Amino acid sequence: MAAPVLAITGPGGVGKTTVAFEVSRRLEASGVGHALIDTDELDRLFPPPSDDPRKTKLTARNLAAVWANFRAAGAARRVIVGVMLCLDRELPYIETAVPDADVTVIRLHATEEELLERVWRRGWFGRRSPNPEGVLSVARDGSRARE
Amino acid sequence: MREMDQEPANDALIVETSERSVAEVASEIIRRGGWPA
Repeated sequence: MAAPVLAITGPGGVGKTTVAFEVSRRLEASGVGHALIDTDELDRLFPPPSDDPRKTKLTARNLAAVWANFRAAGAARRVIVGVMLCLDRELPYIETAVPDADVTVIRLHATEEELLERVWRRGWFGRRSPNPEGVLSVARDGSRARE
Repeated sequence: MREMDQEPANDALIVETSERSVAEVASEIIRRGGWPA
């Protein structure tokens, strides 16, 4: 039986991690068993392997391992969050790593103006690219999605 | 997994976050994903 997967993607600053944690919180509150995997945490290695400079293979191996562990622990559903924007390239290795997955891709969107504003507030400018894969910190009390 | 690209991904459900709360966005994701909650 295929495992339902929500893959939450989007550009830096759009709020992927914050939203994924809120999805997870809501599922937990409703008693829906699930696991949450942040793919951005699966390739934090320096230096990258010489035969895998983009660390794609490493991410796939780590994803497969984490996936198997969560499945063995009883997680029937999974939420994956990360910057997965070229789905033609990235979905195949996700599906290889998690062959039982029935993936629904959710792409978060914000206006360019709002993305830049969010990234600016996070202090990225001057230190990194103006469009990093940072996350949005937003209130969870129903207030608007602004810091 | 970290490359930046503003182009919409094919076959993805697009969820707007501008001027919306995290709760609203999460609720829409769960609903449109067809998950219980």
